Amino acid sequence: MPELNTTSALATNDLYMRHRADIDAIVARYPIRQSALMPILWLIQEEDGWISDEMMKQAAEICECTPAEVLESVSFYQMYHREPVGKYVLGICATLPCALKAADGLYAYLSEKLGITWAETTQDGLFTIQRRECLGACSEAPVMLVNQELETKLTREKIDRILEECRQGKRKPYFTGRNGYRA
Amino acid sequence: MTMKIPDPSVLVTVTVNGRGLMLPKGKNLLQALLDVGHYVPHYCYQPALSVAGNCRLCLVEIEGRPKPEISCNMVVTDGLKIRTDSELIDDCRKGMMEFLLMNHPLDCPICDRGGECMLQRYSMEYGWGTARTVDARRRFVKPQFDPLIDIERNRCIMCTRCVRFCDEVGNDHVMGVFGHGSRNYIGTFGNGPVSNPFSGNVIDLCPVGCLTSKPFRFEARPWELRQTLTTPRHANGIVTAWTRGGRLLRVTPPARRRHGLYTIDEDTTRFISNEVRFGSLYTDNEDRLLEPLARGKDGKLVKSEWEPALDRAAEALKACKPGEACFIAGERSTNEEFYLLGRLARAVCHTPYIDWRGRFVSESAAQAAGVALSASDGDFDLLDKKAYQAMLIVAAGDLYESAPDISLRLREGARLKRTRLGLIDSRVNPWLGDLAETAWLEQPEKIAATLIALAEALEKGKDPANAPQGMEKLFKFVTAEHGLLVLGLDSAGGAIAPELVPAALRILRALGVGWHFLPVTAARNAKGGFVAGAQSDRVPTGRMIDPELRVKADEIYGSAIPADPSPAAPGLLEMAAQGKFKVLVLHRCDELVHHPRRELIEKAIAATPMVIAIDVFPSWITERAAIVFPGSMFMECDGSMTDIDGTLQRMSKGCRVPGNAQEEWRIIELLGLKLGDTRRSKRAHEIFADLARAWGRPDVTLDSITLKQPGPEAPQGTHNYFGVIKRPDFKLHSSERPELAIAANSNATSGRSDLLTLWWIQHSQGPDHLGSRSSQFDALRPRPRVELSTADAARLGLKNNDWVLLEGGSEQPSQVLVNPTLAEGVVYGAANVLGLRLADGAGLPHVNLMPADAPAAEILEQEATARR
Ligand code: SF4
Ligand code: SF4
Ligand code: FES
Ligand code: FES
Repeated sequence: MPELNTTSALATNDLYMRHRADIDAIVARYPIRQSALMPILWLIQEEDGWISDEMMKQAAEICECTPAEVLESVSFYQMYHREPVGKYVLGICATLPCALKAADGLYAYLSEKLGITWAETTQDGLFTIQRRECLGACSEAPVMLVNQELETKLTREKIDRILEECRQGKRKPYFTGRNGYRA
Repeated sequence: MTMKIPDPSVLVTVTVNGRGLMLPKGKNLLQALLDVGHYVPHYCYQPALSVAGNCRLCLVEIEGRPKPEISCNMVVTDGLKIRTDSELIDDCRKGMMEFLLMNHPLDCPICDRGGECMLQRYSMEYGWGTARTVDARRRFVKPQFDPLIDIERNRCIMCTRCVRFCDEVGNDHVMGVFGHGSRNYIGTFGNGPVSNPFSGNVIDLCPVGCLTSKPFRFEARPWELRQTLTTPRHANGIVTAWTRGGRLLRVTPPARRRHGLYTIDEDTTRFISNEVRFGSLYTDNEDRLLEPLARGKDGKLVKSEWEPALDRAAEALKACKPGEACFIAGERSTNEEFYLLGRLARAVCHTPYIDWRGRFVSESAAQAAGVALSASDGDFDLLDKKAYQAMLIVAAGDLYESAPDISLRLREGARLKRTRLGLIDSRVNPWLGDLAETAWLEQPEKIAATLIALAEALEKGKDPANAPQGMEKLFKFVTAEHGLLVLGLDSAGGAIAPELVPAALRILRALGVGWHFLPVTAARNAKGGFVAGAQSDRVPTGRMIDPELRVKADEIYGSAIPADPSPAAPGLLEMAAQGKFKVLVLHRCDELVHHPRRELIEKAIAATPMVIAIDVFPSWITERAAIVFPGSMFMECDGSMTDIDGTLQRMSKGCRVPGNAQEEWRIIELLGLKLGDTRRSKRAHEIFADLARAWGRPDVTLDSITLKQPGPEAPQGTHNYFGVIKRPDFKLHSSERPELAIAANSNATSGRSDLLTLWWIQHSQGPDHLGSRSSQFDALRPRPRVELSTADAARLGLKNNDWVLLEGGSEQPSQVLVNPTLAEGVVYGAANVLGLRLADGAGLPHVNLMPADAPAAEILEQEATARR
């Protein structure tokens, strides 16, 4: 039996109470509440960087669906993270055209420099390397996403520069961090 | 949009492999082919579920179309020409099988599905037989998952049957398809349990060894097992019981013979509840009674032989003057036991005092239930072809908890045939509410008045102008030409039945001949008690004992029966408590063991010099009895049950009765023999034959009761081609639902300040219930919980999961669940879970909710681990 949602349930829903105005605005855009799920998940991710089980439950409560439905969406899309990520997420394209342009070398370089492999985060909590499907910029291969920004025609020098910029805090971090950044 | 149900009577010609077949127009092509015995392999198609079309195994070639298409997503049309045996189709199937097996672990020797696996079967019939791949196979980590269902994701073929089942039948999207691409997997959120009372069905639905039964794991191979088609005593489903060497190992929906072997019918539409599936295994409980017990001189209950125990019982009964013995038959008795007990009481012991209605809290409630049962015309099989335009369900919202199998059939009957559903209740059952077109929420005391208001309006004519104010929608609903009125008899122990039943009968009269009446109760064999003559005012034809019919009853029993009228079981217990009886016979009275009026029953037992109990498990009742006869468990007894809709169900014996226990009918006959009766049957069949003769149906024999083959249509039109399931447009908890007419009433007007009406039920998974003796039940036990309406919760400052005490009802703390579709001023809970005690059976109890402390953390912890 589905747990019944009530108006009072939303009153104890941290996510809703924190972003009431935003969420109400999102929900108002759609004919049914479930449609608001994806933007609400973004909202969570912008804040935390990832989507925890607890957040999924709260999102389900807001969208009047079951947590299983939320997990279906979250697990389907690569862009949603189910584990904490670093302040900068480096999404390397791992599809064929980029691979032909030595994207694997790009990965190897990054991996060695940061001391992490796929889906890992550096000790200092700054960088995460992720595998991505084609980013739709094959002509500029090899490419990678630095948070939401696309970086094209990558070379080692370019990567060094990007990493440096990140370290110096010149780039927009992946998430705002509701309790400050994790160090 | 309402979909039209195809008329199965219009047959059109479809050419299949060059041969003409007459198939019903508009029907699902795959189902039509299967129905006429033309087998087409399929995994994802299931007649009770929507079409997903993702296994691609049911491909057929269609003349005039360039590519093969899946037959499960096609309807029968005139002149259709298809091929299912061409080389192309063969190739397609081979390809699909290879694809499905690409990542399959092929660990059949350690797979519990081995022997009844569709993957194995199709591999042999349509597959390659060898693998061409050499790559490493995809592997998933095995999670904890459900306490009763085992998951082995590596074996999953992503047919989504399990997901669709939970969605559509269980009405709970608890399972889902997670991830994407080749790393798709099935599961639940947080790997939690599949939390609905029918979840066990995903085990049978899964065509492969992904979802298997934990209790049955590694117990046996299907071919070692013996199958018996039967029905359990403790719930309503028809099942196949699988035994080996006289030990019951598992219970599934009816199995089917396929290729000479019985396999679970994975195309079944007869789903069973977990209560039946796992609860039937109470046969494993070693606590059972195996020897007759008799109270010795020192007052202790000790083991005895049959002869002396029977002698003592017979002596006591013989010493009774007419009317000094009283028989109470439990609601789980078989028809044969009911018949024999009625006969023993009336014709042998010459007492009119026999009844089965112990479940009800008051005499008037029990009488009302009797009236309702006699008014039911029994002209329906909910899963049969017959479709009603409308189904009005009154005060039966509790069935989901108290008799899940009945409520499953109500819902499935409505869902598969798209019957319009209307509810009048104090608590909208979320499970039925999702399908309901209109729901009228009303306080329990006022439901009868609502019916009467409707009836009065109907009596003036079906013109919409006659609708009472505010009830327009409901009125329009009941003006349907033909429909079914379902009336719940046993909420709050039948406290409102005395007003409800006359009101229902009045509205039925007003509705006209097109409407049928189905009173429902969780009492397992209520209808049997009624038609087999174990009801105080009925003879074994189900007819009233009146002077004229008494002659007939005398004929049936072969002896004159007493003339005095008898009260129903609650009245009999009152009489017993006043010391009116010398002997009280309690035949399998489970319902008395967990009765909220325990005080009365205790008094009745204490005030009667000789209490004889027939039972299988020791309970506080058997402990206080003078003589206890050990009876039989599930699968140890032959007989029949009468389903709530009047269908006869066969209960078959598949195991020996162990120890010194006996089949109940034999015990009653042995007792009769000692009392000078001559009746001695070799088999239960002979008793049934007598009963059938009394019913005027001598042609029916126990062996001729077979399972009616269900044949509902797949719910076409609710499917989405790509396997995404279209949910109902409406969700109960969406506050904007316009149709949900919440009756405007408040506590202020009803004159109570803090007291809430307790609308209680008996939970089928509560303690003391027969099924809950099964060790497999540990994981299913419900938690103490009460439901409150949103308004009351706000008024009392309570929210979900707060702990409260029911002052005036029960001493056990329980957790609050706020239910927006519960009438105001009502608190809803399960009596046997809360340990409810009632001083008397008058009306509905009123309670005060007091905040309570949560039980000690370690208790919760223990519960949590037990649940794992
Ligand atoms: S699911 Fe079927 S084919 Fe697969 S391992 Fe189990 S029995 Fe074998
Ligand atoms: S678990 Fe079984 S029923 Fe569910 S999708 Fe997989 S194969 Fe189908
Ligand atoms: S393959 Fe890398 S962007 Fe398309
Ligand atoms: S049965 Fe038709 S696609 Fe699966």
